Amino acid sequence: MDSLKSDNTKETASGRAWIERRAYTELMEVLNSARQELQALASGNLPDSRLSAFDDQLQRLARILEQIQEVQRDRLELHLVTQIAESLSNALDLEEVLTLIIDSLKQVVDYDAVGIFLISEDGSSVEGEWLRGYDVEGMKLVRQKLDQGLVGVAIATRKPVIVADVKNDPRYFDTRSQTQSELVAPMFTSGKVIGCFNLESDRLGAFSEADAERLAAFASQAAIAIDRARMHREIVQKQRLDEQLALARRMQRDLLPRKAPLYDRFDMAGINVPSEAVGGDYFDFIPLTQKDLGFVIGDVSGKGVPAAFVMASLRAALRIEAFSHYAISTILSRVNDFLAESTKPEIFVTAFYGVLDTQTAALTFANAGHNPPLLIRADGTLTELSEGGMLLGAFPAALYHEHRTNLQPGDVLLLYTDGASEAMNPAGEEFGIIKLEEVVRKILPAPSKIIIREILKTIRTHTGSTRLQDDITLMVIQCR
Amino acid sequence: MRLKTRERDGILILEVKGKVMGGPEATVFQDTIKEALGKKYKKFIFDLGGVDWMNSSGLGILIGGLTTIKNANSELRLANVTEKIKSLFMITKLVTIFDSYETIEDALQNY
Repeated sequence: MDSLKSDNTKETASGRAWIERRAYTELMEVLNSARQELQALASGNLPDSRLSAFDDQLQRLARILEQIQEVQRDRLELHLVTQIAESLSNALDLEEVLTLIIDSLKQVVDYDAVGIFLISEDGSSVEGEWLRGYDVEGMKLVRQKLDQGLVGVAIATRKPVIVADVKNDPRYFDTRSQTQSELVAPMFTSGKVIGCFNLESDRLGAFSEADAERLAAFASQAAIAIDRARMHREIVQKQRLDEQLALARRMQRDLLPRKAPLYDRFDMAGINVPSEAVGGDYFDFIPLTQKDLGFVIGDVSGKGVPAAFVMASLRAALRIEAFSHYAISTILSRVNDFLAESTKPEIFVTAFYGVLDTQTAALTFANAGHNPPLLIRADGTLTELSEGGMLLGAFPAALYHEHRTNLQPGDVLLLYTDGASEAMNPAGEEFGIIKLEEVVRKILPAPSKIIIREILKTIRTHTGSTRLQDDITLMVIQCR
Repeated sequence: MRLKTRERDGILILEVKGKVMGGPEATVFQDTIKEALGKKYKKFIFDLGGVDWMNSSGLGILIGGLTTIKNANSELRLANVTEKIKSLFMITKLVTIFDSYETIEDALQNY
């Protein structure tokens, strides 16, 4: 009969069924022989020695029934664990998973108070705890269990700990006065401890080795569910952030011109390619009157979201000032003061603002610390438009001077940000202004849009990557 | 970015080395200057000879440093300004704001 208790047969469902069949066969044998004994007893033919044999048979009967019960309890437990695993596998929300775990746990091992502790990814701190059965004071203290109490021991040794009487165990960290015994089991995924179960009971010796085994099995299921929920949470958080950034990107794109304005004497184009979802570069065409066109290129120091905020401020300030004042020097000094007031001195903007009389082709401009636009004349000469004043937003009350030139048919004006001129190849060499000029000269005559496309293509060839190191903005204005 | 401070004739020399690119570095830079101002230094020299690379945020750090020093009625000179930074100063017109010298010795003269 002892073979029935062999653990390796008990472990599997077929093993359990075999035990059960054996038990039932034996049960029938015992019952048959007991019936014979009873018949003999009734006919008065039974000697005393047979009576004690009969008693043995009855005891054997009781043992068999016990074993059947045990097998059935095992099966029920297995069914329960499967059921729990199934419901856990459907849950993805971490809170929901933990509530489910706590709810199901009671069916596996009975307890009066439970705490589930999760350790942060790097193992340095408690990421969270889910508690049931503690009073308010106990809940405050319970976190300290992690490095002081039995929880700490279970995590450090990676093994369950059973304490039959907590009063006799100095390792016990008292957070609940009613507690008499405790069972702690660590949770693993991929060999790493991710947390711990802490069960407390008001009874002495409430937890057995079998309870610890069941809890360990349950914990491995729970750990998988927790791990999955954590991954899911990370994905959801990243998705949310990506959505926000995509929204910001769309909003920023709306702040940039959709297309260049059309004039008889001019062909224009502009493009902004941010290196991140949003960027700090800015360009704009601002039709001021029927014939006067304001245009601007700007670069906020830094990149990403902070730069995008400043870019939006710059645009708002410039557009308001451009429509309220005639003199470029006044416009820029007012924008400078506004930005200086709104941002720290570390944050600044370089910008070039010009107004083009689209009838006479007269260009008035001021360069506020921006990479000088290249004016490639039809006669082959090159002029860099650098006159103007200090970069914007760092020093209040800076002065700006406007300058004037006339565009001739065939002249090409290229405005760019340093993301273009300073784009580096793997050897650390910058693309450079000379190459920018070269690309334009090589492709001429060509529409402004094509010139921009060619510059971008050449920069990407230079860097050897489609990933930009910095925002790139380009504008081309050609006089016909 | 690596920072090292030393003193000469009551002037605080701040050696800036490596890549200067903003972000958390801006705070470290500001704290170093504020600490020196707290120690009653009135004259500063930024030694930029060891700067390998500087982007626009790095330039912002220098501007922030200058502003903090000027707001405390103190003075700043730059020394060993690299070609790259010189060209950035030219483009941005910061050349008119920063008092630059070829060497530390030059910067110390008549300071």
